[in-house]
Amino acid sequence: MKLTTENKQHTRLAQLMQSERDHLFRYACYRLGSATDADDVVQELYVKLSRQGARLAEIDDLKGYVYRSLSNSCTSLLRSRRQFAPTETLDTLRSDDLAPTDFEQEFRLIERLMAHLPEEQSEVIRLRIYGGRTFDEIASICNIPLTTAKSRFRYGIDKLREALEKRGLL
Amino acid sequence: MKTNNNLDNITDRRVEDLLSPRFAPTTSLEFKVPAPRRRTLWQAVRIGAVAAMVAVAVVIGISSVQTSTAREVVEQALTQLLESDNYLVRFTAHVTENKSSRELYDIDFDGTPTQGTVEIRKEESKIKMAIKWQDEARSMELYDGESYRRYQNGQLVLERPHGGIDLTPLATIDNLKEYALLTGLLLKFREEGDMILVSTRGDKVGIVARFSKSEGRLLGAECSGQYNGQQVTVLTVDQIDFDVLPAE
Repeated sequence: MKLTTENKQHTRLAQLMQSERDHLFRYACYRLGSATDADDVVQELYVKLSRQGARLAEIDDLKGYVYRSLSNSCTSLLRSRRQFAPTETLDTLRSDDLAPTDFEQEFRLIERLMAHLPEEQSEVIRLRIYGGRTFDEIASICNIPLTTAKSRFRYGIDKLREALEKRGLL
Repeated sequence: MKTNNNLDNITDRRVEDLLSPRFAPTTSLEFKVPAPRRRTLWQAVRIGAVAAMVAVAVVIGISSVQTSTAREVVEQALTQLLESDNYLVRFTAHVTENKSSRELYDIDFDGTPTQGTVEIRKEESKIKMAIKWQDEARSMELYDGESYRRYQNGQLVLERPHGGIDLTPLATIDNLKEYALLTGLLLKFREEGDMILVSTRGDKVGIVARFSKSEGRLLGAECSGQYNGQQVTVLTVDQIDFDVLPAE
């Protein structure tokens, strides 16, 4: 019986991870700035969740749980790194930087833009743009009301627009 | 009534365009459900730490063919592993005696460097393995597909059932990744110049095998992990020879 439940949950998890793979990976990529690290973090997440086995049945919103866990994993990894490598601010941003030509440049630009925002706003933007989540899903993942999810997104975009306009970059 | 729900009002397209990914990398990760209770090399990690780690190092650390990509090198290595009848692996491991007597030695960061050889013979899908330690008791551990036996000073000192190790499910990179995923071992392929690095990372100890693309051969394989803030190597596969063992 236990094995059956465990198998069901493994199947449920594997199907979810497979269907969400590209979004999970992209979210991790644009948080970590490395496809290799993103692969690792998503794999580690799968391993970690797989180990929960039958206990996964107790999680109703598994998708939300997966994204929340992924966000936490990325945060942990970044915390350990940022002790050594602080993110550049928008003050040194040049117009050339707004036209990246590869992933590395694009990531650096996005990282700087996100660093200009409070964490709760940048997280909603990341989940929306890179994770491909709806505002309903974001509200569930972040455990906030739907209106808050939408307003955080709007305030974040507004704040970036103002900052870029102020620097003559838009 | 106008509300914040209207996305047209709450976004600025120019900013969103800047944030939109244009160069997003792609992934080939696969999430599959494993066959339940299947005996694999990876499960053996829990059963026989030293034996399994050596075997894992062999699996990811063999190549004698010239190919271009990391994936091809390792696919060829696995093919070679499956097609060869036997291998002789020379290794050095940092070990301490296993107090439970289930295994002779544990890999241990504080352990004593001890040399040994692993003889692996393939018979159909079963892998028979003998580990010969260069310790005072000239210890030898045998996995014959049905039992585990330990000899010391030429005497049988322990015997227990053991189902052996089946390498067949690891015939492809996809299978290897699948099993690695579900046991917490991450398998990564990385190219650095002429070097191909194939690595795993588990909870404590990772394995790295280094290949030369131009020479088409394995340069070495090591198991290491973080200990007291430093990267410490606990097992080194010094040499792997194919089809050198006499018939039983």
